[in-house]
Amino acid sequence: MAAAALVELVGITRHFAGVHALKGVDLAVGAGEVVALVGHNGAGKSVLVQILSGVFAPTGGEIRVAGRPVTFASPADARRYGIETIYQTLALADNLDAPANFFLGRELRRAFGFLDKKRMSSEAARALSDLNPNFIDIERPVRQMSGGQRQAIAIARAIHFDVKLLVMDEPTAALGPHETAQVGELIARLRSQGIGILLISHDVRDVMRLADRIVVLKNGEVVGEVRPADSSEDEVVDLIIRGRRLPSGSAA
Amino acid sequence: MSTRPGTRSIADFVSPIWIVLVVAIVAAALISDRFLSPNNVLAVLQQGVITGIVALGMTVVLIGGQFDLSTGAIVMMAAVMALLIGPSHPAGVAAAIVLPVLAGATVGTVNGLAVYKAGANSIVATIGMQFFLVGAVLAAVSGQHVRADDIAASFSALAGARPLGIPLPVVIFAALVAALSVVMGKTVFGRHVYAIGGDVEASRRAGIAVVRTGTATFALSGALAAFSGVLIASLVGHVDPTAIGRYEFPALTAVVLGGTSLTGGVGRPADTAAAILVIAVITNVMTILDYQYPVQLLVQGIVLAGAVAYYSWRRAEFAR
Repeated sequence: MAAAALVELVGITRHFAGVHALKGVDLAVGAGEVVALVGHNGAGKSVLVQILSGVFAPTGGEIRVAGRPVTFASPADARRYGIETIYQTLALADNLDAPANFFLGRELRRAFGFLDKKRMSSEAARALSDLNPNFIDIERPVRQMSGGQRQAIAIARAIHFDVKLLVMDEPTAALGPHETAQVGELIARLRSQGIGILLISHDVRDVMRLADRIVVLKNGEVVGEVRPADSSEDEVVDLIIRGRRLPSGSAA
Repeated sequence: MSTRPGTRSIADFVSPIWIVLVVAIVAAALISDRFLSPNNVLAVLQQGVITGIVALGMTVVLIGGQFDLSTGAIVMMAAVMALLIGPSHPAGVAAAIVLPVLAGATVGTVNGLAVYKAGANSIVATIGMQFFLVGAVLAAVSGQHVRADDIAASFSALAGARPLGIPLPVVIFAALVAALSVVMGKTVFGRHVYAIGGDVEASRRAGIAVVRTGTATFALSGALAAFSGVLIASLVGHVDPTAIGRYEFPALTAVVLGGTSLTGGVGRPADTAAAILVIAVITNVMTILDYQYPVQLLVQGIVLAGAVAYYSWRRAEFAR
């Protein structure tokens, strides 16, 4: 890993009304590195995602971007530091069309707060067709679009605006084999561009294939970290379930 | 940019309420030859204006996904305020217009913060505000009829002037419809209101200032309702605070008739204006035909039920 990680979480804790969702998590993602975060439901993955993307503030601990401590008062702050999140729910406004969702929260404007609809349409159309050449009729409410098209919008807007760290929350959970392969290709391409990727998943097979490092979260704590190159699927599953490695696996 | 022709119907560009309006006007003209007389047309236009201005604000709030049921009480508060400030002296006229509107915007801001910052349910919060305002105003005037001693001509002119023969309130209403259409359709603020109404969590995650934008919709609604109250004060010069009409439900009727979704994210100020005119035309024809108020209410109820059924069907049809 590089000396100063792209983004680093140090001793992050988060309590909700007495529940300790995260109990001091350390996690770093370097440039061009794919780190997978795995764990059961309730392990704290989605809380961690929401802290990284500025939805929640941590109760304790520090977020560092390029070595410098930062605080995110809102999701807009996290985006300003180049942290983009693709949520499992995609976080699209179903009533709006593709360009509106693409530029949601950072609309191109002309004078006096007027929308620059022409430029938004053409830029969004270009970005979407880069990702999916069959994407047609972008100016209709996204509720009328297919799951693949909706995900393309969520992905396209996350990588369009100078992204440094891309957080992907269960990107393949709702996809078929073909689309899952496309997400894999996308991750490889972004990685080669020096973008850091934090991949949240509970599909161990998937992350073994895609990630440089796998961090296992259980009950709000990091219980282990493995490199797919020198470990097995079983070892990761064991960490997820028991929170420790098989005695035989780690002894060797 | 690629678009596929034939996937849009005319209803995507012209809301069906405009077609209903044309049909209503044609029918009204056929039913009574008095309907299209200039005086009657102006009467139709004027009839809807007070409720219409209230409805415009409620449209913006509802596009954001929330209800503002405090508007009727704000109308009353503003009318009483305008008369108490005493528009008797020309110098007081500006204050009698501006201060109630500012008070309305302030009340709306409180509503907005309760809903968007504190997370209150907007129906409950704004009904609560309604009780508070009615109570406060009745206490302030001891439940008495409020009238200004003598009203400056310039204050009466607000409702009474007729530039080019058109009542000034009608001109103001048309200007407000045009302005709000631009704000909602062409500005970042409008876009954000639609986004919040579509999916508030997605909007927050996209970095939209949900609290600020949402609160602004309530402030706008409060200001517009208050302006309606000022118009009433100007029009009639006295207010019985215990008897002043409850504007929030007729206004909400127009908002819904105009096609604004009750769950937010869909709607247009101009469509609300068309709905206001539809209601005014129907009421007017029935008055010409000498149907009594209960029958008029009945017909309005049927029209509204039909509209709600139509919109529900259309949304179900286009949901996927």
